Amino acid sequence: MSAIIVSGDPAIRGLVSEVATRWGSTYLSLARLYSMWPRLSIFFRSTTLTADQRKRLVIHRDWDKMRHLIAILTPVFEVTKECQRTSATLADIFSIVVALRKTLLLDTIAAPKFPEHPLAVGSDSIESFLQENPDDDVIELDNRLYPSEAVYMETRDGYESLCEEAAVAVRIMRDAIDRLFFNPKDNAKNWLRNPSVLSAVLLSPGGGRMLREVGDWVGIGDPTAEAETAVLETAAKLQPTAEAFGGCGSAGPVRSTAGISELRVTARSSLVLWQADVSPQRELTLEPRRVDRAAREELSRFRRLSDSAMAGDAMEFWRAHRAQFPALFDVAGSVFGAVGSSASYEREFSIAGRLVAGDRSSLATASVEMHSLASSNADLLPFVTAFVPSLSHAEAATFRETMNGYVPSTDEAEAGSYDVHTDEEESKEDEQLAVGWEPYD
Amino acid sequence: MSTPSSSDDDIDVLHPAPAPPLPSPSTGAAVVTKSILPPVKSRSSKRPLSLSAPTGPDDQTFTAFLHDEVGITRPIVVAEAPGSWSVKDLVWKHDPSGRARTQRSPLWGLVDVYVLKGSKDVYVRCNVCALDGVETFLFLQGGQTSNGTKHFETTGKGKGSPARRGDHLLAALYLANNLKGGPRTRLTAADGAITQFMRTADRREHHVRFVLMQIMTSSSHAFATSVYVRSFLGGFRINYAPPAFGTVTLHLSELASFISSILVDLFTAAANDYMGVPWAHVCIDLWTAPGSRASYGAVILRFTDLGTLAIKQKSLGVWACPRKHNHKAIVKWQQEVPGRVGISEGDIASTTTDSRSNVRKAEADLDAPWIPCAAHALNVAVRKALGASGESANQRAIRVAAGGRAARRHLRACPNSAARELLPGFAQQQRSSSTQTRRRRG
Repeated sequence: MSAIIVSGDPAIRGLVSEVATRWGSTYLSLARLYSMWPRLSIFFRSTTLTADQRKRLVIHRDWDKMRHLIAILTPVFEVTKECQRTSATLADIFSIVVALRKTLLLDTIAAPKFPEHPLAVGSDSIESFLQENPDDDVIELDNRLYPSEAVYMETRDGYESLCEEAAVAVRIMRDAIDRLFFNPKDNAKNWLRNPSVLSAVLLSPGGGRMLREVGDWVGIGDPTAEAETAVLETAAKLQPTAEAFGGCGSAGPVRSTAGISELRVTARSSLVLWQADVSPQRELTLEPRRVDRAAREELSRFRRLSDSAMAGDAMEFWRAHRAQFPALFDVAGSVFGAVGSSASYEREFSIAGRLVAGDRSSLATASVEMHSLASSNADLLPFVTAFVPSLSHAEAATFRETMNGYVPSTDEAEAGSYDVHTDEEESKEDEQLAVGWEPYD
Repeated sequence: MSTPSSSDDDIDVLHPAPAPPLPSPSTGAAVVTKSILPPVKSRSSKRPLSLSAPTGPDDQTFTAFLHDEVGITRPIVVAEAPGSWSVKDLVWKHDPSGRARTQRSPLWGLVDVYVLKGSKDVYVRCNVCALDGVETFLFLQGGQTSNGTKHFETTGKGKGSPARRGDHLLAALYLANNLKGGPRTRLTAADGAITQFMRTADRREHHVRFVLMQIMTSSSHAFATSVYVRSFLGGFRINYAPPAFGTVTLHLSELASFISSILVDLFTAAANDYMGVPWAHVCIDLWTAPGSRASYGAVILRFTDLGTLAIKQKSLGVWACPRKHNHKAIVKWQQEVPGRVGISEGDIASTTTDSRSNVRKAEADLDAPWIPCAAHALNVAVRKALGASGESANQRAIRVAAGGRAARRHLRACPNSAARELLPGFAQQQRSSSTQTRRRRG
């Protein structure tokens, strides 16, 4: 097939197949197949095909199904990819999951038209095409631009609608997303009941408004009160010292400004108020009650500001407003660290999988641990290896023992020799919990 | 002596005795084979690598020693050593017995020793320089001979008169061929080839880098011991052998211990910044290595750096989690592992995992809020949707059976069981494509 020359799309590419363990590989393989249409159609027109090759002809009906499946998989793929970004916060993921739900609930969805030659190939030419034709309905697949059309999700006479398979898939996907992300019967599977998600969304600019609207739309009610409780619970754990507060944010400069009366300083910042209350004889730790009051006050101020703010990058917002919300700032830092996707450990297992390959399966556990720790954090090592402190053999042995110090509890130890129960067995044991869930990787 | 550029010829002019050309001063004495040595008559009486063999001119006059052992065959006049040597108001006394005291290094045969009472340091006067009327005093800290060895090599390659350079090169060659004790930088092989010698102190740095390379390439110890790697390193003419297994384990422990200490510092600093607010968000999952019964769990830690408000993600690698993967074991494991890098349970703000029942049950037992992985959930949604799994298992079996042989044939083609049932045409195409790909590559 590489000998076939397609005008305007000279890149030689092969078809890609699915990988069971790779997220989005079904979409990727379909998109590649779609973009390979010109080459495939020339290939199947050849008169020298064997009977076996001819049997594999992709018929018109299949192309139609395929483009509809691409249409419904594209938004999911986008969201999955966005989730895996290392710096994606829970608020980011929440908003795109909501966007996905909205997309799937619309009447129509954008589907690529029946395959033809691409409108533009490569990022430069796609950019220039979009500049010239900003009003065209287009969709980008596999680094190529194709014309698209709106297709109705449900069958409607006189209009293009999704094929039966794709329509069923959309219906199942809608149910699955509601069940997995907005499940009113199970708080663990309801992102609008998850304190981490609620705090992260609430502390994003425009997040409070979004929570209210999404809560109403999904039919769960306004989760703002819960979100506020979650934020304040985290803030209650704050044990700031008066010293630390004096030194952080803009509080320091305000205090040190010469020529301003103490009263005016107090009037300018609530932060200084707490500090002024701390007598030097007392413990430097502020009373929890005061912190709580301050956090409440900051939260209500933040919500007023946030409701009027446009939704934007939460990190940028907090960098700019750090001085205004000194107590809430730490809480925001904490909640934005939360991870919405566990793609990172799957990568870790890939590294470990390459290490514990078939021919090295008897590698010592401690070696695997040390190896994976070092390879994941090689950026921390100095360029000159002589700077790595040397250990004696005894010290190294002690270190290995501490590292590999996990001792299973006694009842497990009694259970037998080193049995690794697979997840399937576990699922059977916990069948009640596992309703509707399957091990999938 | 007529032309400074042809130093070898000059020596030959002075010494008509048959002597092969000396090595060019610019190449140095790093790789010189014995074949270019001048003929030395008494060579047979020496055992160059023997530590017990006597060295130096104790049993002969210095002139005869230079002629027979070092190979300086031109007519020479040996100047008398001065009785003392003054540096910064300190007077160092000539010690005629100095050489006898440290017989092991051949350097002592070529110098006069000057000592200061109460000091282990010595000054030496180069007797080879003295042949040309040049007084060179070298400071040997603690009596270590390395500076002396360096003097003979650098003078041989330096800007002195051709005769002086030739003499020093011969002396350097003599030293390289008679390694006995002291810090060494050269190694003389049995065939007379002289190669760089790696000191134990220097070797560690290279060993650590070698182990790091093994880590980054996930290569086994067999790689270090393979003949190819040995011959590759041998090509550099550096006497370096990759570390043995025990050394690899030691350096691997050093690297891991170093990294874990950095991580502990990093996390302690973060905990201090957060002033009591839980800050660490962990991602965990368990995994059984393919083809083995070893079972591990991975821990990834993410937090926001309060100084820059940038999100930092650190992987703690995989840690053994033997026995059952039931929720009790997971809880215990999860409580214990982050503690190894200084993270207490109170620091953990949330845990993200996939939604397998054992993990979910474990997370219900832990205090930190649980966040189900969004990517896993979406994957589940898509797989269910493509598999049209709204139908029961029975209905599905009927549907597949009703499709006849053609429908069942695709079951082998596509690794995604849900997709292959739904997309017979697609699965067929996939097979076609793989055939095509193979054909093209072939």
